[in-house]
Amino acid sequence: MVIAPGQGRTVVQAVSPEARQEGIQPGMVVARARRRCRRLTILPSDLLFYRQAQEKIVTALGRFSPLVEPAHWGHFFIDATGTRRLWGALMDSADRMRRLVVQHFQLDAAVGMASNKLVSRVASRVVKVRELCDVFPGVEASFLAPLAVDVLPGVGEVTTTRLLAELNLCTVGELAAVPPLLLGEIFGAAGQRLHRMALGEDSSPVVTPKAEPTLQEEIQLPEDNNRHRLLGCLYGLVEALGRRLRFQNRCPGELTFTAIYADGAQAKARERITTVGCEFHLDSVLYRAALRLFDRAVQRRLRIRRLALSAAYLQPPIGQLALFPWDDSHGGKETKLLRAMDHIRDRYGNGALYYGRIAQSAFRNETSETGGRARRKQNLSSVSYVSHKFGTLNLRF
Amino acid sequence: MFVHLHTHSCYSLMRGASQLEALVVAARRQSMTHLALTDTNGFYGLPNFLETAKKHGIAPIVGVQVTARDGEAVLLARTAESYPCLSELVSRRHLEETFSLTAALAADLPGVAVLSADLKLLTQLQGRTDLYVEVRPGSKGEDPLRFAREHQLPRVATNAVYFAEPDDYSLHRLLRAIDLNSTLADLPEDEVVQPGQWLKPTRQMAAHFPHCPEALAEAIHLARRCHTDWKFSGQIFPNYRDQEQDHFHLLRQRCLEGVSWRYGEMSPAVAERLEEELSLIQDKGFTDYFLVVADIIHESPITCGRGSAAASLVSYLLGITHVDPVRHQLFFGRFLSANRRDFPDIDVDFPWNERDEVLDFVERTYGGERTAMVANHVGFRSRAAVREVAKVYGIPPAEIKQVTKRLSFFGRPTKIQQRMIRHPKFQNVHLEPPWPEILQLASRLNGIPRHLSVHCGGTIIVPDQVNRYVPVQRAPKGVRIIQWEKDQAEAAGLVKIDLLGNRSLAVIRDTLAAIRTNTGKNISYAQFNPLDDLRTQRLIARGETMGVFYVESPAMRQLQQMTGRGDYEHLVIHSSIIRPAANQYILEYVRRLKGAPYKSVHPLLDEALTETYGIMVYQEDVSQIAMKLAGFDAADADTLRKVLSKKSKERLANYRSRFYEGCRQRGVSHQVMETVWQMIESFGGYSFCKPHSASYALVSFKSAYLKAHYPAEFMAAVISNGGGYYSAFAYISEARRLGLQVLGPDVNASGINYRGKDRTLRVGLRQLKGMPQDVLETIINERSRNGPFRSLDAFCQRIAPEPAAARILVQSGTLDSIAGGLNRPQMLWRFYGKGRDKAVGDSFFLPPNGAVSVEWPQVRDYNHLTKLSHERETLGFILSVHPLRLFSQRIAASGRRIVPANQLHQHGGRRVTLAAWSITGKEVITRNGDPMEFISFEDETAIFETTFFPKAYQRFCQILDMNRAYLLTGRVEEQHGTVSLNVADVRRL
Repeated sequence: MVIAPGQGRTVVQAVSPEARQEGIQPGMVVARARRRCRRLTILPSDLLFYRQAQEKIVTALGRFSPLVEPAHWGHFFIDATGTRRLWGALMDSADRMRRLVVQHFQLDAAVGMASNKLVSRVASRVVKVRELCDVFPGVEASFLAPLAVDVLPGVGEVTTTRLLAELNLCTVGELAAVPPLLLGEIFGAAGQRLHRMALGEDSSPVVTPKAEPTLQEEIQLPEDNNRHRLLGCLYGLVEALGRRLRFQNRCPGELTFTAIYADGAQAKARERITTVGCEFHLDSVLYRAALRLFDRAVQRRLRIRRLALSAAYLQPPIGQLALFPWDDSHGGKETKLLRAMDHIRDRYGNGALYYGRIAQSAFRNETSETGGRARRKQNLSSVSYVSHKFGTLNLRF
Repeated sequence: MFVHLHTHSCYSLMRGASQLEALVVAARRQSMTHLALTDTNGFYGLPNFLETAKKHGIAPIVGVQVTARDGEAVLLARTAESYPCLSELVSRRHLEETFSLTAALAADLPGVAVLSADLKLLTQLQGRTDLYVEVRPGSKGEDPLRFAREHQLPRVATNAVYFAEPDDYSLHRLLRAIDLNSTLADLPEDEVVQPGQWLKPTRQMAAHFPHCPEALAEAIHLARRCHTDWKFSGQIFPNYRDQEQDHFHLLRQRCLEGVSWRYGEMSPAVAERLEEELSLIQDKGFTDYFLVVADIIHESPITCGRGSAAASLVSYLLGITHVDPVRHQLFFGRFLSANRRDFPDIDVDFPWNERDEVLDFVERTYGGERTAMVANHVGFRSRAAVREVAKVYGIPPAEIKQVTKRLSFFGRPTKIQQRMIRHPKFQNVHLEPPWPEILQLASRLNGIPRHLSVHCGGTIIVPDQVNRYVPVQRAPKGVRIIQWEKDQAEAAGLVKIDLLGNRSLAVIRDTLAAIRTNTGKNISYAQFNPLDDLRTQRLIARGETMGVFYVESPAMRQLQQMTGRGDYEHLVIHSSIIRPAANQYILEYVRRLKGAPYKSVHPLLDEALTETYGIMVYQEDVSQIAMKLAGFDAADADTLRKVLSKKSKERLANYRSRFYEGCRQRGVSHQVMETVWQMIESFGGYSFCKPHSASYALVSFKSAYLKAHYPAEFMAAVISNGGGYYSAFAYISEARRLGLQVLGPDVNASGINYRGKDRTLRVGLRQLKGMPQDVLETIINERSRNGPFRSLDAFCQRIAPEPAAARILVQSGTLDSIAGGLNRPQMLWRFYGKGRDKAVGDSFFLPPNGAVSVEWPQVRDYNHLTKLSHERETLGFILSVHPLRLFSQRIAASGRRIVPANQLHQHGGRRVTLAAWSITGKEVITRNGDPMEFISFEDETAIFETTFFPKAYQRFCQILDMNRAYLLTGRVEEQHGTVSLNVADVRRL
């Protein structure tokens, strides 16, 4: 089973262990993956579903500790400090957490336990799913020493990895043995951080996530599109985003446009909106800003596979009402029109009403499917972290 | 009737979509009598247009569309005299940055008709004679028409044609997208023309102009007033030293001086031959040509006059060529005959890096205005066509490469579909949409020129100004080039002198210099004659000629081994007989050479082919046999030779029937005719004349002499000059086989180039991949000024390289000799840390007193594998060990008994397995049209040849690549004392 936005020339985003055994890799063109495995099941990605699952796991793990931090998809840090009297030995509570997630979400986990986030994260990576790794306090440096340097977060970056390889610092232990002064010569300010990481030191706290004040709309483009159709898709994104903004009575403080190319490269453009005004919930105003971002981001002569538009730093619209009813400088007519359109769509569905400019685009197909799209449970691997009284611990599914 | 006076062909580069033939045929089909060719800013296809128009009975009108900052207009040459003015104007358009069309047209241009739809330009040109308003169909024509009526100017209807048929519009859009580096979807509208701008028939054109019938009539009227009887005026070449006097006595004098230089004294044979040649040269008026070329040749001490010119004693005496045509019986008629009308070709090779100086000399001597280089019209080969179209479709580069790597590099775009269906490299390759569409479009790019480049050597010199004959523009590298490629230049009568770059002459020059430095011996290139040197002859006979000019290819080395002959006369034959489609004759030649009895195909051929054992080897054999067997006259026989090399099927079929007819009249049997014609056809593509082979064989001999006597200096020069047939790695392996010790780069011992001395070969610093040239020069200059580098610290202080350059120096081992106990990572620390002094100063953990006492960290040195990997990264190959050593465990694990390559001859006829590293390969197509490949491999002991016959090639071609390790299993085939492996199984290691 794989997750991919469509058939044919779209690329695989995630693969199940069975599919991986068949030689299918993320990034492979779906048609090629299907040739390798004729019985391949292809599921579309469903970000909303993943987000909801992530939130449910956080809630479930919240029974064990008030401090649960979702790091990224399927990864969680849990601060278990002071939970011993309630849940018993850390090892037991970690296993309980793992079983809880298995029971409720059909996701198995790898667990790493340590005195800080850094070491617990590494610990969860050195064991397989269903296994636990407990790193006792005080032995963090010796635990990390034989491991390859790329287990340290940030070392995956091209520059750092290349430099460490050139200087023949292959293991964390070799990195730890270099005096920080010398590391500073090579890596600048990052040298000190690298040295601390190599010794297993990490003082960053586990923080609960704030409600993300971000709205995002995105579309996968399985077919090839010219600029005209891409702009149709962009308008579709603007309409969907604008509708959500109007529903929440918010204006964006920042707009971000992202395009993913056929070779996996990502192009991003961002614009801060300094003059927050009520007109920014109007589709026409949003579209002008989105078009500017589109033109800045889309520079390469390559097919585009995904478009996304997100609004952050949401604020209530602050605007002055028109003094005279015939003054339409604040988009009064468009506001009324959009209100009417939203009303029709609420009642009859997204596909009931659309502008001609998006009639030919993939967006229309996408939005008309949205209503009937079934939520599916998916049994793909993911990682989770739990913390104990000394710091954090780690689960991998 | 209507005449299109504004027509673009594919010579409107990356705009026009139709080839000349298509346009002219379309015009003919529509019963048009005239057609104007008005390509954008050039006459790129003029001679071809005139020839095509003549072939189809269309009266050609010569014109050009000039676009400039201040407007655009179509200019038509109404008279023959106006063409030079137009050519000059177009040259100015290309060469002058401040070119103004308005100013250029305001000047007096007699006989030039100006058509324009540009109202601004028309306003400024009002009052000019021969000024017409161009009116196009549709709304675009309304403003010009109104303007013409207001100002009472004559109006001419055109369709600004960019393609012959409406279907070609998609090709026009494709070309524009490729040119603008854009996708088809994002093409700006103003960069493409309208779909209706094709060569419309009269009726449709008339339908567009019901409101303005006078514009249609004016087009016809103007066409009738234009000159259409275009002829190029003979051969164009200046007088020697621009003096209009007879230089024959000077030429004779120079030749006589040459006699004493070359022969010491005049012999009767030489005297007779010299008189014969001189009188012919005088009769044909080529005296100045010889003197001009001789002057150019004398600019460089090392040259090689090649081609048919080597058959001329005059060339030999003037120092243009170096092979004695009298001693080696070279047939003068191949070079010059009484029937020949055009100038003979004199092609001269110079060391590749001295050629620009020679070209400078030509420009200095004759003036920039009078010389220019011939252009190449660069079109699309199959790989480039597919790549460009796929980019237009927005396909990622990695995906494009998956397809293009399976295509032939030189194949024509029209062959793409055929290759996809038939070639085993496309077996099991499924191409998803839009690939089928991409490949279909790519095949339509066949024959369309994309841009101009500089011909590898063709230089023209004219008596007055080049731009009066053909527009001149500047190539990207800054050279002045004409707008025609060599065939069109020749058709227009421009005499081309080929001044070509040759790497092997530079190899000889550098080897001689190294010998002078190392041993003090001064060997003169012109004087030394190694033809009778035994060591050289033995080396050639053994086929150990890697690095030796012209005879180093695997096929040539095998031929040498099979024949076992290393003398000059046989080498001349071998240099010629190696050509495509001659394989069966080569084997027959070897058989006969080794004493097998043979019967001549026909008694008439005996005399002509005695020297070559009854086998046709040289181009002149074709001419002579056509004359003797089929009764061709000399001119016809020479044309047959030319037609063979041009691969024109139509013309060749014509000559075939004439040949058969001639043979029949002379009572030659059908079987003999068939046999001889097959031999003649084997000369298709490329083949050589004896003088050319003799010239090159002499250079080969000189190279071989240097390899036999001074292998270190020779191999160093071969690699430094970029090698020839093989990679630097293959030459290094060859050096090892010659018993040389190959040493890595060293900061104190290496030069910029490779150095050879005694039994050692030292890698040059230029081999370091990615190393900035300026750093290399700084190192060498600093070392020569202030002596060798004593320590790493001293090197840092004197050179202070950037970290990226330092990494290459350290990882390649260049600094090992001055490391002073530091290992390579520690050395890098030294360089990287130095670059971060400021960062350290800013860092909070700096000691309070500010003093930084640096002790290099105790890091381990790189392990062996990492060092080898660094070698490959920084040098391009693994130097310390043979790369097959890295696979020794896998080879052992295979459980097979591995035969070393140098013992292959002991296993003749048996099935063996070898561990092998691929060096070079050549794909060929069998008679049945199936691909197969000859690949050269090597192991640690020897280089050996393999054959992948069609079945094996079909199975393994997708895993075969160069510079990779394989386990090969196959049968050892013996042939005339050589062995090769007929491969049956391949495993990639």
